[in-house]
Amino acid sequence: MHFTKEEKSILITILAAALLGIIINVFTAYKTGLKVNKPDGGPVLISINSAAAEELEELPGIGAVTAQRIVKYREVNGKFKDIGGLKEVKGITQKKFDKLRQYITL
Amino acid sequence: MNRPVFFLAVALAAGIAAAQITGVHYIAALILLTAGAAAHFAFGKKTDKTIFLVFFLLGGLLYSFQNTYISVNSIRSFDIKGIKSVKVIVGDDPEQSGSKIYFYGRLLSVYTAAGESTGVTGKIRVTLEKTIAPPPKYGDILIVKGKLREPEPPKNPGEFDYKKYLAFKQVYFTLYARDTAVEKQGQSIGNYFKYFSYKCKEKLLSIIYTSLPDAEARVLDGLMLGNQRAIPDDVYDEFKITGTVHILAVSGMNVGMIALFAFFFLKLAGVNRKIAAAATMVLVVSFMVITGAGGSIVRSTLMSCMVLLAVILERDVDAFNSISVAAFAILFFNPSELYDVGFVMSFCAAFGIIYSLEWVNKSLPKIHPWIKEPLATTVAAQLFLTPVMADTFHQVSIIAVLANLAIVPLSGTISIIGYAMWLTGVFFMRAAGVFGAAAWALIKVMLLITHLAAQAPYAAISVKTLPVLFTLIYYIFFITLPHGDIDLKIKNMSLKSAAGIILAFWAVFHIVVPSNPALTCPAFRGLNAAFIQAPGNKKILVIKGADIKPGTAVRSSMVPFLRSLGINNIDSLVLYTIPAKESIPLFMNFRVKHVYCDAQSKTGFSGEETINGSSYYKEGNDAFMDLSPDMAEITVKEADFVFVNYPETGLLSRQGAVIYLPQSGSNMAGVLSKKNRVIINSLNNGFFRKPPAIAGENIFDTGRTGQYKMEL
Repeated sequence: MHFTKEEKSILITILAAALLGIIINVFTAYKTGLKVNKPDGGPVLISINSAAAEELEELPGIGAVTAQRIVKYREVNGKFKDIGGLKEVKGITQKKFDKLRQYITL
Repeated sequence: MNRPVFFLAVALAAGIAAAQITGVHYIAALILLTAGAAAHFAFGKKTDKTIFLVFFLLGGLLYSFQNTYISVNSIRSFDIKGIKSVKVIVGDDPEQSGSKIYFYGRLLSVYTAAGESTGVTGKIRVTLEKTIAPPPKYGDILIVKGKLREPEPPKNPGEFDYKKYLAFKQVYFTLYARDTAVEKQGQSIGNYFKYFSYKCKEKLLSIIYTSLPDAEARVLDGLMLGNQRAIPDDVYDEFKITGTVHILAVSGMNVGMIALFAFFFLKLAGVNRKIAAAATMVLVVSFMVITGAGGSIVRSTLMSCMVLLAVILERDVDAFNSISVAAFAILFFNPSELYDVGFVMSFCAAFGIIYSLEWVNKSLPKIHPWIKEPLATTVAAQLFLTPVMADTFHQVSIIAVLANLAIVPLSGTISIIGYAMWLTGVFFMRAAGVFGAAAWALIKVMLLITHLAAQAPYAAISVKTLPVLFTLIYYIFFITLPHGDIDLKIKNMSLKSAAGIILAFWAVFHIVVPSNPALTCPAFRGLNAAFIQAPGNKKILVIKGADIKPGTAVRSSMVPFLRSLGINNIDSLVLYTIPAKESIPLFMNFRVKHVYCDAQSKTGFSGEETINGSSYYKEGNDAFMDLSPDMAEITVKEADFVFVNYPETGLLSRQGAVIYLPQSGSNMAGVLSKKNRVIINSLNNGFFRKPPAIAGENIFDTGRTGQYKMEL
């Protein structure tokens, strides 16, 4: 397969970035440090299908117990098909869901 | 190669400009176009001139129809004072910034005391409190209680004209509502392509914000999706000062990279070249939708689509024809776009590159291609962009060429890593984190370079509004410059060289020569201010904070105001009851020699002798400060007013000419005017609910009459 000069640049960049990313993740204390409710706003979306319990605890109204229930729900029932599915988890009422829905995504 | 579209696009643009200048009514424009078309066909000879005339008149008609035709059902036909609430469809992906949510709402009906009026047409700009749950999404039908208001025109020179900006989008009213005033009625997805695109945007955003720390994620959000609101103000200002802010606006580079990236991966996947081109077209159009379809991104999307279409149709592509088609299409469907700054800058930069890149490349010295190519591209773009930027932002970045040389390739690399992050994040989030870490590192480097470059002395200089004649000669000069055969000689002197020398001296003179001494009291929300350009070119700025929270008035209003006056240095800055962090934009954008502030204002400064290299601060007494900056005695009292005693003018006597900077609710202008000459700005309606009573000739209102000229 013949690559143009630009395509070769893209390939080299991606490979170099992957290597750099692995080195940073393995050898440094790098963390994404996701935070909710930043005072100056900006979109903060936690994935309810992939976030760990610790991340889910950052959502308003979600404590350690509810966070564990969400993780358990995923293990038993598979991924959520839409964000409304979160209401199926025990402890998440409609009122609670309305408060945190702006911070979540699939 | 034949390029007829270029002339048609120019004719259309000229017609639009003529209609805007003359304010011709659409019926008159229609009559003129009919006459022009009849003349074109009646004479039988279809020459370029009559075709040019027809498209010129067509441009005039399109613009005048867009701006002078008001249908019976248009919201502009209604008496908005009687409207208590409105029913709207959320017409785009709502933006969030600070504690607010913003979107454009398409009107369905309005509610007055008489009941509901359906069938109302038009768009409004809606602002909601961020606490509203659930937050509005594209297609939501909402009933919003609140008053429609006309946006206010700018009150100060250099201030962003929000009213005009909205008018170019055919939006003439705004509405602000609290969360309790909003009720969702349902949903109506008019455009499923848009709906799907916004859903994809949500996923892309979640990948960015879960793969990087928040600070760097915001920069990447701005870089890849053009969300400038996400970027901290001081970071954004540094990009502006270094002339690299264009990387934070989605443009041709983003679209080109997406197209290249998509094409490459589809090729790797073994997809047929033509099918890959078609799929890439869908992708770039979707990208245009999710980034808000501004003038710049529409231009580059259309040009990219033509390149991809050329692949499908197996035709050659011509950049000149592509940009002409893009300009024609945009102006045909939205003539007001001609006056959108984003559109103008985008086309100037693209045209500059297409037209003069080859000539710039030949003119540059022999250096390594890795440096020469990006340098030539930057210079070619800046040549045609500089006058527009100078007139719009009143700022020219001296360091732009060097800064772009470092930042642009870096931002391109970060974008490629970002696309890889998106691609992997769709299938496997953890893999996205690997690319996220790499992007994080490079963003850190990019921010460091920008920060260091922004610290350079006079990295950006302020420029007063350029004379029209200068701008005309400038563009004629650079359009004819690449053509060595186009030149006139007068007694062995090349007219082109003479024009170049005149332009250079004129530009320096325009920037360096100070304005006449004058005093201005600009009107800013939450601030009282007086700016004195004293004889000897000394500049004194007094800012007094007030009961109203200043917000970002210093950054968004005062800095552009000072830049529009061509100010680069402030000799004395007086801060009175204003939080220190509010004044930081002044130190970022200007060289401040002396700072005087009270205890409240100095909170946040470390108390060192120097601020920003060459400044120092000196604390005054809370209630009373006697200051003697170089040319004027300024006395600030705890009460409502500032005295400026300027000994050397006849008009401001030692008895005290008063620059009146009021507290909220107070109005002592009338009382003071009995014994003093009082200078105010009654347009500052945060403090003056109605203009103060005029007492003889003693009150000078800079809001009505402009600057107060100080005569020696």
